[in-house]
Amino acid sequence: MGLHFIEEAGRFMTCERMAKGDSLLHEADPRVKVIIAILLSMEVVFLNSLLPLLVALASAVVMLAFTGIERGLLLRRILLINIFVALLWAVIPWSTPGRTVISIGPLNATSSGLLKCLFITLKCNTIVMFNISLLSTSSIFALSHALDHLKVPSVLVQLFFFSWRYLHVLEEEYTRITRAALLRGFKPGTNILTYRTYANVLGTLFVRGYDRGQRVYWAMACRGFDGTFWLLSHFKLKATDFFLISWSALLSASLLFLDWSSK
Amino acid sequence: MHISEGVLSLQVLSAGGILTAAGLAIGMRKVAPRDIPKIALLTAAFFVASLVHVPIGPSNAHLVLNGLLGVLLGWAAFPAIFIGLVLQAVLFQFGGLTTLGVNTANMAIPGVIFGLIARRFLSIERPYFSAVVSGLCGGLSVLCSALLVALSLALSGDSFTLVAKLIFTAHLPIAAVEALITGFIIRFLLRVRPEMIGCHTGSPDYLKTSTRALFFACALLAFLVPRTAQAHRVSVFAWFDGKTITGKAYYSNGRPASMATLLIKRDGKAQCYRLKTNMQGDFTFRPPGPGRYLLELHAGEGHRANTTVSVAPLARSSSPSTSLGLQHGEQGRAKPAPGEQPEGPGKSALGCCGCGDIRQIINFALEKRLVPISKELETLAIAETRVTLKDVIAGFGYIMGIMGIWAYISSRKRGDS
Repeated sequence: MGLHFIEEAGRFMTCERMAKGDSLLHEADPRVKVIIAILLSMEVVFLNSLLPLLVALASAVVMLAFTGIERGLLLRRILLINIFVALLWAVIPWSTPGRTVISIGPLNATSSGLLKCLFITLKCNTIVMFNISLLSTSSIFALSHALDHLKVPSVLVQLFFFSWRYLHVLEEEYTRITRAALLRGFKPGTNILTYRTYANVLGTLFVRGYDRGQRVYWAMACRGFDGTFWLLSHFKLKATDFFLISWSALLSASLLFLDWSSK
Repeated sequence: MHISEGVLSLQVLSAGGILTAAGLAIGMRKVAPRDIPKIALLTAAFFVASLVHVPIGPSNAHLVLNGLLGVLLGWAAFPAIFIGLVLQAVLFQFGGLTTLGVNTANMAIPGVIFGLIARRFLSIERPYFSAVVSGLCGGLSVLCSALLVALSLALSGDSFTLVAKLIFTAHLPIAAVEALITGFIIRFLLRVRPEMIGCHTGSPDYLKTSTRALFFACALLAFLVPRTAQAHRVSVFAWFDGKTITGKAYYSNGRPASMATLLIKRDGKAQCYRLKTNMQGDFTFRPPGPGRYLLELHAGEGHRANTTVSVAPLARSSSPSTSLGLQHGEQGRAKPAPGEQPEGPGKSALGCCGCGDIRQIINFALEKRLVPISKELETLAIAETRVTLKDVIAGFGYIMGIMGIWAYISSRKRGDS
């Protein structure tokens, strides 16, 4: 179990992997991508009929294909997201009132329940694909710059950036502490000792994080930090950005029209 | 603890967004520039910790630790949890952009409220007591978060009710483990790095306030819980069926109020009638004339309920009234019968009389038809006053809201971050 976790924590190493690439979406201005991602996600939530949802899913798949991200990685991510959706499929069709379509033993699946599940699955996957192709193709550094340019409160941007910056450090710290515990013969189980050990491990992690935060602040204060987040890179809209903007405007307009006309 | 995209309704999503925006606004005011690296590091630690899978029986679950973050950071836990969720959304696509508001609100609100309350009780001199309080805080935070998740699902549509119940039940063991771990972490931190918690050193003055706060919280719970969960109000439902005022008296749990006293006062008249309901809580009363009747039910132990029934003069068909004649006159003008001669006033009076008869018959038939509908209305009214799960959850919400306001005010008074 403990070893299993160490491997799992190693995921951080790979989580910015999608940001590497040279596709059109990787090159685009992160400010534009953030805005488009927010607007498209909201619009998909708003959609209320099957046809526009299918169109949205198709366009999300096309965008995902454009990014050229490794296929295995993508599939694993999307599969993971669908675990919660699978839970819904296991419950909702059988508990929604309506016309019975399929019945297995005492359970009856209704058409309205199935339709609801289908909608949720489509929406969830579409939004996740939009997010991967628009947000995960930027590095966190670029994203925090974009957020600051978009006038997101500076405290939030800084918290976002610093948290990301020290995530790896703390994760390494955590791996080290866990390894130490394992070397001393720690075997996780359902007992008080396990929980106390985990608590001490996490407590150590919090203490080290706190101390490091203090040191980082002192180091920054020595270099004149006064709460301002200085921007190093400035963005300029390019031809690709205008292309992306017009494409997504077209997409959202057609989705709205399809939704309106199929009512 | 995450709700995926595309599940919740637009109303729930926007409500969560507004709550989160408000919480972030308060939280960011409490963050000084010098605290930013510290909070960021704790956010990162929280992020790493929330990926820890702790064994529970045959399965395992990941920790939430929102209560611990509330204890450590107070209001600043709001932006910390928000940033943690943004990172998860961007890096792993858990949660997402549109559900960010709801997810943050669900996790941060209980964490901040219970954390601010627990902070008042922490002291280096009483490590075990502090550990127990913060453990309770950790467990309750997870429980309330699960409740909020279930609530946001249940409010998004009836088909989610079962899923909401399942999710809440699944979080019960997690809450227990979370309580243990939070308690142990706080004990560890009190031993190793007490300044991290910013706790008091247990002066007598402080002890007094903490006891007072505990007493206040208990009193509030004692006051609110029975009122929302078990309170049985008494209600009375009555209607006029043409001849008599008929009705039913019942408690909010659906039980009839049998043998209760009913006082009936006629509007503008001094006289007062007194009668008793039967074993089924039913009663009938023949009103002596038209007007508004105030029905006052006394079911003992201070249970009282009021309702008014107006008895229209029209329905008392024994005396033909002026409005009836007027209506008839209009009808006659609008539809002159083509084959008949225009008739004199004597004949018209005769027609009015016939019309009154017809009215009487129609009234009688209508009342017969209306009785089942009135009965239906009655059962609906009973169902509406019954205490449901929703009311209990709403009661929880009130308690949390009041606690939150209190925690906010008291934290402002002390002027710490």
